[in-house]
Amino acid sequence: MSRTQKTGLAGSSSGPDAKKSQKRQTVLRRSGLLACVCALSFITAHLIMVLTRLLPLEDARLKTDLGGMVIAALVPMLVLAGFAGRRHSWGLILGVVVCASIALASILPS
Amino acid sequence: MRETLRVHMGWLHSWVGFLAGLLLVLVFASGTLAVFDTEITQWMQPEVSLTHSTTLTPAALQAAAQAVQAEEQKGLSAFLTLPSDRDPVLQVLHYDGYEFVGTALESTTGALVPARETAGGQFFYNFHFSLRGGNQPGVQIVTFLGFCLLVAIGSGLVIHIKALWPDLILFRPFGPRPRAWLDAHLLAGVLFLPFILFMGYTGTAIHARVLLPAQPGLPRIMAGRTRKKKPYPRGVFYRRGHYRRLLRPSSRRPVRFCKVRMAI
Repeated sequence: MSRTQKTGLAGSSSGPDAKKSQKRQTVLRRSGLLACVCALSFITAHLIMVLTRLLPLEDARLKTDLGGMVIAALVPMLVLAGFAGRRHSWGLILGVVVCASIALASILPS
Repeated sequence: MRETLRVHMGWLHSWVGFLAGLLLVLVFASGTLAVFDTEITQWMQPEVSLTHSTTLTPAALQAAAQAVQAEEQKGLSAFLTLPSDRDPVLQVLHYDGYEFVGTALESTTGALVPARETAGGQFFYNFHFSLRGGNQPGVQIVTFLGFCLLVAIGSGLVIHIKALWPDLILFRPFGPRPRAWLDAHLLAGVLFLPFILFMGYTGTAIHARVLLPAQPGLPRIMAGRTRKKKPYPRGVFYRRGHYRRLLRPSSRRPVRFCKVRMAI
């Protein structure tokens, strides 16, 4: 029988590993969330650009310029909102709702 | 560490700002130099005298027209830039995919100015918006970096929104080094926030269409497929009006093209 007594501090060697793994998990989760949010935002932006073709304007360049102005403001907002809203994933839900509404608007006949 | 909103956005601000900033610093520096593109070109072409008169003569215009014709015969799309106080020579330029290059003529005699070949300030102008990578992927990369800049600005605002005013007057250059650098970062960021925001927004909006073109992806693929279909049957007469209507680029459904074609 070993004379050394267990003090209950045996977990001290696995502490840094657990911390490291937890940190890795956090970074992975954040990166995944960012990738999802970016993908949703870019799909939304693309659909908006497609939607601008239906605008009743003569000049096609004017339409794309208008679309560019809208998406340059919207994409960073969507990315930030999607990344910030973690409680109940409301950020992701907001992104999906916006994307779905734009998709619906481009599918429905004008 | 507790995962608060500030910590969460701080991570985004750090990584997006750092990774995009590696290239954005080049874009900013070349953009600053591109403001003085004409002056840089003049500095690099000392043969071109800046004391010319800016008044045009018929002889100069005739020489310019001949130069334009010569360029057109080479298959280049040339154009004229008239002399001004800033740039007192008559120039016949064309776009070579990177810069506007061409010959310089004296505005009074139309004589060719023997200037050395250099991109001059045009190099920085082109580098500023495309990193000299052309429309694809150069402009696309810079536009994407513009989006990253806007995200970094937004996340920075979320982090420091409570301390925007105190940060404006807080600078501790003799404190610990990280503190001093952070103070400098906050001071510069808050002071120049409107400028950075507007430059980032306008730069991104100008070329947003290159990153996300206004063409639906699926119908474009379908159009590519329909083009490979079997040729028209022989002996069928197609009216020109129908062709024009069916083949116009604004037609949104290329699939319909086949159906109508068969109906005729």
